[in-house]
Amino acid sequence: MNIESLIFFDLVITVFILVVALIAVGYYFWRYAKKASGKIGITEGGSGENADLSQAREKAIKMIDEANNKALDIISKATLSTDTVSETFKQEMSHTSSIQIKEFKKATSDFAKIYFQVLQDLKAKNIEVFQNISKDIEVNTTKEITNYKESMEKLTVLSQEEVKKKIDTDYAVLKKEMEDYKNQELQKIESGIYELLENVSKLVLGKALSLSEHEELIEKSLKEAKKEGIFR
Amino acid sequence: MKKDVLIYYDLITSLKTTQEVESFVSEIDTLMFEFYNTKGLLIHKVLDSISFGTVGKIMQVFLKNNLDIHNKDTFVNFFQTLKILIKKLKVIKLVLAFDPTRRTIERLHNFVKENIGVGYVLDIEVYRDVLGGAIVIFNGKYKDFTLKKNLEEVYKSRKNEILSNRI
Repeated sequence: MNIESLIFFDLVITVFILVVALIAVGYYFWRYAKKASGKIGITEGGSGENADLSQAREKAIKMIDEANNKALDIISKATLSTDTVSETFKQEMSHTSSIQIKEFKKATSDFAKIYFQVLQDLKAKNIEVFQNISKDIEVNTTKEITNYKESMEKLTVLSQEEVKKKIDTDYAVLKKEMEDYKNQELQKIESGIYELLENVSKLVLGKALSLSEHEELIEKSLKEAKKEGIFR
Repeated sequence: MKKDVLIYYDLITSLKTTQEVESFVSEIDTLMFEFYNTKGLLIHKVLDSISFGTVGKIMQVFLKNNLDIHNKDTFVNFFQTLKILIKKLKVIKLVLAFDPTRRTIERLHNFVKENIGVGYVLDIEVYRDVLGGAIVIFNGKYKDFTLKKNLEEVYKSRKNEILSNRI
């Protein structure tokens, strides 16, 4: 709180006390006058006393008027002083406000400048970081590509060898499969022939041979078996 | 001793196949079981436990050789010896192209008896693909004398000729 405002409030309080004191004094005189007039009423009857009373009354009224005037004067002075102080306070407030606004504007401007500066710094830093990252990525990527290339070259060489081996193996397997297939087909043809012959034999011999001829064939088989020494 | 064995000749030679042997042995076992479980040696009752044909064969042997069928020892010894002899029978396995009739089996068994000897029985299996002839299996030895085998051999020896004619 500024000094001007403190003075202003002190003055207001002083004026208030003075007004209260004036009212108290007025009240006191009013009561005194009332008492005095009462006493006059009681002692009415003598003209000399009446003159004194009217003199006293007039004196009292004059004193009250003077007091009133003085009070009014004090109040007007106080009011004037209060107005002056208020005006001064207003001016001070206006001045202070303008100063504070200016300071605030300045502070805002400074803050904006600092903020802008910080942003610029951050931007610069970020750009630098990004550049570094980009560089790292470039280096890493180049390294990876080189490694990949080397691996691929190795793999290609290995693959070529593997493929050659596989081709050789597959060729051998295929050759064997072809051979097997050929044999199988030949066997099929042969078995087909066998089947054909068997079927023909079944049709011709099976039906053509009589029971007696069958029995003779079996006996012949037994004879042959004996000849070959099976029953020894 | 030789005379003893000859007692069984008819019975032994009447068994021509392994099936007949199994059936006959089974009947002897039944007979012996009944014999040991029948009190008072009622032989006729014991003989009722087996087939009429087999009873006839046995009775014939006993009568022919003057053996007392009611004599316990004779009865037991006869069947014990018979079982021992049956166990000694040799089996000739024949794989044939057709199911032989009883007459064919007799003919084949007689052929074996005359050409190979006594004491053989036939174990016959039918496999139509052999076409004719027989596969002879004896004592672990195997010989194929079938028409199928003959045809295969002919084909092998004249394969190229047959194939060229086919194409």
